[in-house]
Amino acid sequence: MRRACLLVLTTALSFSACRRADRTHASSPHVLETIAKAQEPNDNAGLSSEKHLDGAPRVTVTGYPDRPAFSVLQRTRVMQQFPCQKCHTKTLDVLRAQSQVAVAQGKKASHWSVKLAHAPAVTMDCWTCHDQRNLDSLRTLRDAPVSFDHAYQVCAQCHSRQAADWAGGAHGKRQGGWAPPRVVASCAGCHNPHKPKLEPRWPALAGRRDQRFESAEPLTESPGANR
Amino acid sequence: MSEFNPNPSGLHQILSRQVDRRTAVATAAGALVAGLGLLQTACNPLAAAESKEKSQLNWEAFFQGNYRLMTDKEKEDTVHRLERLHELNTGNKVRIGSTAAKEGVLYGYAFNISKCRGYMDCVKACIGENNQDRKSDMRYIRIHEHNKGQMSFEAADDSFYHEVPAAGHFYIGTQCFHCQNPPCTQVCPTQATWLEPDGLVVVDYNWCIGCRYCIAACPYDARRFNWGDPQVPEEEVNPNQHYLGNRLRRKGVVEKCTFCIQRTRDGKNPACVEACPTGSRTFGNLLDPDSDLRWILKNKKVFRLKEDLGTEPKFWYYMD
Repeated sequence: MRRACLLVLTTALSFSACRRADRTHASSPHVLETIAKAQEPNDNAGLSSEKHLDGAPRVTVTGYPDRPAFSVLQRTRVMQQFPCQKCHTKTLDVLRAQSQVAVAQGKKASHWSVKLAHAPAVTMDCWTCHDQRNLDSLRTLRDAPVSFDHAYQVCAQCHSRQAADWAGGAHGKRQGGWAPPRVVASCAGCHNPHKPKLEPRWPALAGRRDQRFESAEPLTESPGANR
Repeated sequence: MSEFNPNPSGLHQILSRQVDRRTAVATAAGALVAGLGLLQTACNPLAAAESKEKSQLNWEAFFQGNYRLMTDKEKEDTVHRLERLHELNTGNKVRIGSTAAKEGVLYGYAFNISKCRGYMDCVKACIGENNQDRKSDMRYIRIHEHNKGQMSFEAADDSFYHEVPAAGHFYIGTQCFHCQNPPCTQVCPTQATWLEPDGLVVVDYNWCIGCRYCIAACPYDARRFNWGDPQVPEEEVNPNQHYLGNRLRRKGVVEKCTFCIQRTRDGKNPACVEACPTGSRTFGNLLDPDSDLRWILKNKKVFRLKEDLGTEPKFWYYMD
């Protein structure tokens, strides 16, 4: 009796194994071949990131004709002290003189929190990127005006490799979701332009060693669990 | 019972009737449920209705079919039943989706090892999004800290906890690679895990019997097992769920990264991609020639782990 059962079980299992092996090989060509075949424009099954973007204001990126149109989040809407003309009602010379008096009295200079840690002083100062004549605008190295919304154009002058990766999709942060429309963070969305390097910090959680053999017993809490 | 009785009594006839196992289990369980129901009605008529409903739902769940064989209507009924059970058990509402794979979409992932700095924000976001067991500190993602100059995963440190990035080290994240030729699904004796048409490898937790063959078969150590009852504080439960994704699991079942199926089938990025502050993680549709992912595959020097095994992972690593 037991032997019969075993026989039936083995037969059933081997049949099901055959069936499954067939199915798997038939339906899974090399994924690279599948990708290579997909060259036609794809509407991503009509999926959209729009509802995940919450109507975030954005501007269309210019200067990358090889990439389908994409946008960056509009920066001038979220800059707290923009437009700069709100405070900069007098010329810079006057404001500098006022600032010197204020500092002599022990007060803080305007923009005291901005310490440029970007490139060596021989390479850049404030006016490499800001426009002295129009503080509401940035400038290129050859003095063409650039809106704060398109600040990536200023960055891309030196960081052309990063800019190409960013336009392509290998650098930076996608907003909303993976589905179109493609909206990405601008450079200053992640980097502080005055101090662009990301700082070292502690991880959000402590790492864990192999979890495969963990038991159901309560574990001692990792020191970072509540960070 | 096996002895032959030439003159059986009435009771004996009933008892020795040939019954298949399914009917026997059904009859016994039915009697049990009916008995319990009667008892509870007698004791507390107010709570009785809810309790009866719960018993009924649990009873239906016990005989639930394989998700892949269900009609759309059955899938809907199933997720509604799970939603109602959660409400009856906790008083809180969750939304369990059953969104199907869409044509023209094949999900893939790219990971920039030049950019990852070991911040672990992805791991934290993943735990919260996917309702992972807090008691055993389950995690789908691992971040491996490698010494520069080698890439041995045996020599890497997965349990680092210090300021990162540490000098002389680099970081690589691993999780389920959603292989297009997955060994894990082929060994499953109950067909509780399979490859979806949009490339996601998923698990039907109701059909998983916990044999862990899939864990043995996975060459990437991507699957996790619930050794105990998974515990998620009720206030931390993510209510946006999917049947094949982050719905609450039970003891004795295998689970894994689903590329956040509850988010990605709705156009969103997985939680890890959204949480990464360095932009190391890119997700998208491999069949869309204009996707970020396709640009990376075309323009970057990419590689996959253990490519020689022929598992066809849809998870590529690259460097700046």
